[in-house]
Amino acid sequence: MKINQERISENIELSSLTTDKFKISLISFSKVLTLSKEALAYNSIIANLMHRGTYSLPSVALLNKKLDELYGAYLGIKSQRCGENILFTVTAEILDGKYIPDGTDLLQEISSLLAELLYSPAFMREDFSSSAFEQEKKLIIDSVRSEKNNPRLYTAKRCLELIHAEAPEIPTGDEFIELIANADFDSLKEYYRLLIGSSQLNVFYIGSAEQEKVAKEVTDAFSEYPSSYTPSVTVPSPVSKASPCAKRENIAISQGNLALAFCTGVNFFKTPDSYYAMLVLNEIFGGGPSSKLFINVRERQSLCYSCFSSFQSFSGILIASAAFNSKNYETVKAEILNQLNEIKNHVISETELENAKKSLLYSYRQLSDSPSDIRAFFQTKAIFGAKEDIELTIRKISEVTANEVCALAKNITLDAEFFVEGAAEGANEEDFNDD
Amino acid sequence: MTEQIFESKLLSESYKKILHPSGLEVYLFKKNMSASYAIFGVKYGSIHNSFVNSDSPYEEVVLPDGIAHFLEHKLFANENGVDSFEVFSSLGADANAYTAFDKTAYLFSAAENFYESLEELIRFVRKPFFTKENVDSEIGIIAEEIRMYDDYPADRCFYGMLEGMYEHHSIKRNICGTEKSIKQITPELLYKCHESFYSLCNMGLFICGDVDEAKILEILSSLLPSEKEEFKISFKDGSEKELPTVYKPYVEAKMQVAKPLFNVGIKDVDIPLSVAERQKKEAVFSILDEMLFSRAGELYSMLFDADLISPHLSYGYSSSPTAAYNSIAGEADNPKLVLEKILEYLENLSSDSLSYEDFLRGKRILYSDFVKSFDSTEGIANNLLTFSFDGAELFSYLDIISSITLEDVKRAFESNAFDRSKITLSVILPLESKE
Repeated sequence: MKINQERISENIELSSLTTDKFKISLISFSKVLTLSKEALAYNSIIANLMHRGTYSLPSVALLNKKLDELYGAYLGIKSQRCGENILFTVTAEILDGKYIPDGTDLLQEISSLLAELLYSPAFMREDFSSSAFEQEKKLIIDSVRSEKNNPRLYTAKRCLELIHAEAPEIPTGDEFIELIANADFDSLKEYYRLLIGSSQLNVFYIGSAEQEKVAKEVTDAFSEYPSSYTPSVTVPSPVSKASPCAKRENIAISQGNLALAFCTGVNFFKTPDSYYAMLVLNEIFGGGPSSKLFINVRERQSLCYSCFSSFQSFSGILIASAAFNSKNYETVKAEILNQLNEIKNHVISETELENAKKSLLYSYRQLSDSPSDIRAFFQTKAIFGAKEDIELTIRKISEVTANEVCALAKNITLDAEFFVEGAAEGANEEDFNDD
Repeated sequence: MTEQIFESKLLSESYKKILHPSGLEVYLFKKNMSASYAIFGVKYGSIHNSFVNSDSPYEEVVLPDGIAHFLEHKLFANENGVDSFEVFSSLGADANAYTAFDKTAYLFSAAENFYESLEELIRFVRKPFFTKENVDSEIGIIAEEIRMYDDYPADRCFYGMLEGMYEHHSIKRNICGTEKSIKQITPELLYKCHESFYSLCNMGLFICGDVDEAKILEILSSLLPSEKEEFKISFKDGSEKELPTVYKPYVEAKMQVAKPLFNVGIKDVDIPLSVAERQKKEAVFSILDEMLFSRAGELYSMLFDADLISPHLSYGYSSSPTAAYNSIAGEADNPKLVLEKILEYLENLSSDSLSYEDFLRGKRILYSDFVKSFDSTEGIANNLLTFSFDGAELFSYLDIISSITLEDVKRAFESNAFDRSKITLSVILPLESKE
């Protein structure tokens, strides 16, 4: 799979893959910004405000009517932390021209729309109501408070907050709410002016159009907007080991939810030689139905339905999650740590190693079947100056040995724990639909 | 063996339907992707709890809630002690299964060893192995699964909506059952369900990817009987007793949420007998829903601008041979007020106000969503399963969409579909709520 990269203007870098494989085309525009607590808050508000339209389509209804007219074009706007950076991305998916009854090519229209959304959003109009700004702040705060609606994700998030407790640029949930509540509309507009003027625009395209056509549409769409920028990319480093800590919270739910986090010191950018072994380690540990956590905590001991691990590629944090009857907290925690110790002590069978690698190889091979997966794989690497293709990743995973996995595991110790204690046993015995 | 080929020139896609001598319908959709997808599905789900075998017509069998889902879990266990998940892992395939109201599906996706994985899929689904030990150990796992879903407010709100709409229909029963009901499940009952419903005449095999038809047919010849397996089951799901009006207009529960969730269910017992009519009705209501409830519409603007709802409002029309309903779901500080505003809007709206422009937008979205679904082997295989189990042909849906007129949509709106007697409101309130 060959991604073409080209600088098409002073501040626009285009990566594109021309293919007839899909019925949609995907185009995304990203900016990398400097991380700070305030910037995280402002970018969240900006991402929400952008859904209220552009200068020429200044409402939710008008913007969505336009998207619907473009055959249900999908629009995604996201602000996310990426190591020591904020990645602000606007993505659109449009139906390929071949499937539009009158043959309309939507690429030009969607490029213009996204350019206007990024550089002339409705919230910068003079007549934009500040009450709408206040409403968006309230909605973001509601959304943060509603994170408890998903106990597993909430527990993992609170655990990660413990890891980042001493990081000055990363707010806790409560700090974030306070930042949002105190955000001022004029200050936000000032921040936005700096945002659009100060960073490179990274464009990613997958679809049937040739690179030259995409380059022309994007250049035309952005021709009237600022073209100078100041490089502000910081290549992500793995998070340093924190002072070990543990916290609990009582919530009125049926199950206990546990998250255990480990700072591995490994990430794709700074420790590429260890990165692939770390992926295999995570897979052996808790990556799927043949993993140690699934087989030992769920299948052998019937302690939970959900028990797995995940590895964050930018921060290098390995996190194990489980949901279970709270009375089994000690047993579940001990078993999760025991399974990690097994890996440290080289108790890794040939089957476990091979199954883990096969599972990873499958996920990388099938990645080329999804435009959004392709974008996620290539774009973040390209933004931070890394060049790697899928075939190389597959080869490096295949070469990982049990010794390498074991050596990495020996350096991993528990850094943070968050336990949400649920209700006592028997609390939910009553049928929901008693006849 | 008989076969039919179906083609769509618009989509540049085709597939083959093969009727195997055993009675199994096999669908082969060739697609040039890196990974191929296979589903072995059975028309047996959570609503099939009361049935009669034509060999014993006076003996009605009534089973505990959740048994179809329990069976889905246990089929992966084999007599040789090796779980089928381990076999799939060793082949590098990603396997899973799901149980729905009216079907159960066993599936895998693989970028290598597809045919070996297909053999394993057919083999393990056809050969059940249940013992008291493996059933008892699964009770603990499924109990934790039930508790996990109990902690998700969106799930509880959805089931509350079903409970409000239906008095008798078994669709309102939790797919997983309850902690009490699953304790009644025994190996004997599981075998009874398997021998009753898992007849090849009641099943289908759906394959999408870069596959070799001859190899697949060879596998089927070696694993499946050459004579037809009869299906002798008729079932009752209680739908015949349902009135057009809802059972309870309001259902409420309190959970750990920051903001109330709501789910409006609009019951529809006027389900066409013919598959084509049912599909057309579903498509007409999908377009009508876009016109009435989407972000581009007047109603959404009214509710959102007045700060009555959170941004994300989901809606849709769901239809099966025995149950159909419209639903609108979201978050709101005052769900009762939101429902009242929705009903006022609908009652004051005349069909003449439904514009051609809005109709065209709704139709474009429906068309586009359908076309986009052909970018995924998983999407295609699941659509083939849904359509074929309903007796419909996949590509014919394009003709159905194309044939819909604004008059069809106006007639649907005028059909009393949104009458208050057909509407139930399910709400999840915060624990500290005084309501």
